[in-house]
Amino acid sequence: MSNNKKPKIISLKVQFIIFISIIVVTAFFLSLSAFFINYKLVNDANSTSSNKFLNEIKDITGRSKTYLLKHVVTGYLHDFTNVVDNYFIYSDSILKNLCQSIKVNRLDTIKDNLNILYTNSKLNNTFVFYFDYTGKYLYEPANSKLSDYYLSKLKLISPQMPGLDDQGIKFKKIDSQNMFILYKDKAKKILLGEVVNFNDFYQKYYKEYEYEQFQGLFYVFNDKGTLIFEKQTKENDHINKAFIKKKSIIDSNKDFNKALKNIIGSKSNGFVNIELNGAPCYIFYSYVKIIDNYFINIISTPKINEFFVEIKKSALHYFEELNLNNDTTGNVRLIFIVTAHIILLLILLYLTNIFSNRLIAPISRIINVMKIIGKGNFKHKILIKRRDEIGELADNFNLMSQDIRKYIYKYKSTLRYKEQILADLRVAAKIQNSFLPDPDKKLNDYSCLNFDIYSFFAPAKHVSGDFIDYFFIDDDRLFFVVGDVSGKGIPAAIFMSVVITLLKNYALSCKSCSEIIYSLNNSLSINNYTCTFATLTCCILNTRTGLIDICNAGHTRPAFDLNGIYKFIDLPKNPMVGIENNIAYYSKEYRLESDNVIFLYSDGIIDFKYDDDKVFDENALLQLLNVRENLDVKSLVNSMKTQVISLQHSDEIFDDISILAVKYGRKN
Amino acid sequence: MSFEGILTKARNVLTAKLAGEFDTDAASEFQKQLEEYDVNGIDKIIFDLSDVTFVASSGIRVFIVAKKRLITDMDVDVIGAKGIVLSIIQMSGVNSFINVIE
Repeated sequence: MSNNKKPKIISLKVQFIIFISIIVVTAFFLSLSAFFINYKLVNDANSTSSNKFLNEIKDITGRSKTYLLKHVVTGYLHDFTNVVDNYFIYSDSILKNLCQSIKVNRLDTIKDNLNILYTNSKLNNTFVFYFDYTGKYLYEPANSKLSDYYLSKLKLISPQMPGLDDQGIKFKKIDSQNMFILYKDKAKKILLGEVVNFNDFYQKYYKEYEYEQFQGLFYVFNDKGTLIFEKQTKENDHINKAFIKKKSIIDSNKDFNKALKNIIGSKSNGFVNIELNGAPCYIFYSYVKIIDNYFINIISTPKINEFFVEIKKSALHYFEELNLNNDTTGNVRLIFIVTAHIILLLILLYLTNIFSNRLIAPISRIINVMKIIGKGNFKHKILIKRRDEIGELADNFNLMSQDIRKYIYKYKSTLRYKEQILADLRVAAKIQNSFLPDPDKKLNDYSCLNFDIYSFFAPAKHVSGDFIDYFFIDDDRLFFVVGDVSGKGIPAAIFMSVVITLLKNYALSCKSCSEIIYSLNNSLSINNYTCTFATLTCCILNTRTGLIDICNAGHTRPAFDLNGIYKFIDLPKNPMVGIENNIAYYSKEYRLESDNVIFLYSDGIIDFKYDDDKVFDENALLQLLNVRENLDVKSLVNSMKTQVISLQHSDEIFDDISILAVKYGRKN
Repeated sequence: MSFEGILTKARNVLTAKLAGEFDTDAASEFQKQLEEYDVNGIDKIIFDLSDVTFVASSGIRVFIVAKKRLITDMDVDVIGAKGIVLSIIQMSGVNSFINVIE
């Protein structure tokens, strides 16, 4: 058995950790995939709607390049509310989605014509979404051009915008005709410096701004109101007419003159609505600080409106779609998330079920088999082949049940054997009892004779080492004996049987008690390996004369009632029988008078403790005998037996008990 | 009362110090103990019964076994017996075979 290699055990703890890990990893990957799928759904929806919007804007503006600005001046925008709704308020979710794709919180300028500003300046938890349709084109062309020229990489548009310095650009006026531009490219950390002639700048770049849609009149005035540059187009003749070619605003159209008066010297940017010769138009003005000039741009109002209406249509259309898409996307996402979680839950339940089955099912099987085995059916086994604690439990349980089966078999065998022994003992006890005289029966036989005899015998176990016997060895002489074999139980009983058989023989053949015991001793001491011995007191009473021969071989002293008082009489001391042969035994003769009683007993009624620490010795026995007067032997024996047994305070007597009493003299 | 038997060997003498009730069961156990003891070179055994409170006939048999069987004709002394123990020993007449020293 010891050579069998035990399979390596995979602990339940490890299994548990593996299962939990599988569940956690599964849950993680499912969540992750759910996240990515969700992300993709949202992204697709956003990019679809955002791109669509941007494309529409591009279609309208005819430009594809997008410029980005960090800051914008929004002050202008409010004044255009009469032209177009310049802001829309939408819920967070819509704008967030939009923001993700078109980068909220900054200005997107679709080249020259449209600035789109997204801010996160929250008003009642909403994002404000601005369109600045005017752009720098309308009133900042010169500066924008300047920016474009030098700052295209930075995508800065207008020098008028606050934070211009933040974008890394600084201007420095050198004189009335020249300026120095210090350009700092933050990303590249390069400083560029260039001196630009004002007139060269206009001549070189102004034409690029002559877009069809916004062609208007362009003028530059110095701070004194003197016209230093002008550009007119034929399409704007009605405006041109309003402006008489004068070198000073003083000489111009009254309305225009009036407007110019407010503009020149204001050192600010802005626009005004006026009518020039009955035609509504805007005057956009821009103060270019570095050269201390004012750029004036005049555009017909209908032209602007026409553009804005188109933009507005497109924007509104976009947001309608955006709302619609967003709702659809939201539903799809909700369905997806719920489905993903249900699948996740089902997978977790499945894994948990597998694990619990793996753990619980074998335990249930073990319990069932235990119940079957508990009913005594040991042939059942737990058939679980696993390399973990449960497998080990099953194996050990099988071994245990086999062991229990063996033990029960062994126990039953022992029980049967014990029952057999008990049965044998009962038979042995009967056989032994047959050796002993029946006191009541014999009494009748002797009833007519000149003596009375009675005995009591009780083995401590089934069989006894004590013995009692009495019989006539001739017409007159009665032989009686009380003895005890060392030890108890069967060994003592076997020895006792031998003793009592030999005694019968020797009593009939020998003349005296000493001779009987001598012969008995010689017979018993041959090959007595166990050193078992017997003690005995035997007597031969001549029932006619009252002469009694007594021999005591290591036995308890007999008590005599010779003159109404019980006494121990002096007898020769002889050793027990069975140890050494050829030992001389001595006896003594007495003559009994009528009513004299001789009381023989075994050590079962003396030398025991009672009432905790008192010893019931032979003197105590003598006292007990002396409190009884004139009793017949039967009463005497029964009384003493009862008294002694009651003193022992036990359900079982601790030693074999033998009592024999003989009363001499004719009965009344 | 429980029984205790301690065997000690000094030169050629084996001393058995007994205590408690030397009844049938105790005698059986102690005899086994004695028979398993290495008695080579022993020619005398002393049973010290100073602390023995009772002796059964089986106990007396142990003295005889020591005398007769352990080593043939070993000197056996029984010492320290008193009271009921002494009277039982004397009554049995075992002092015919062994030395009972009062």
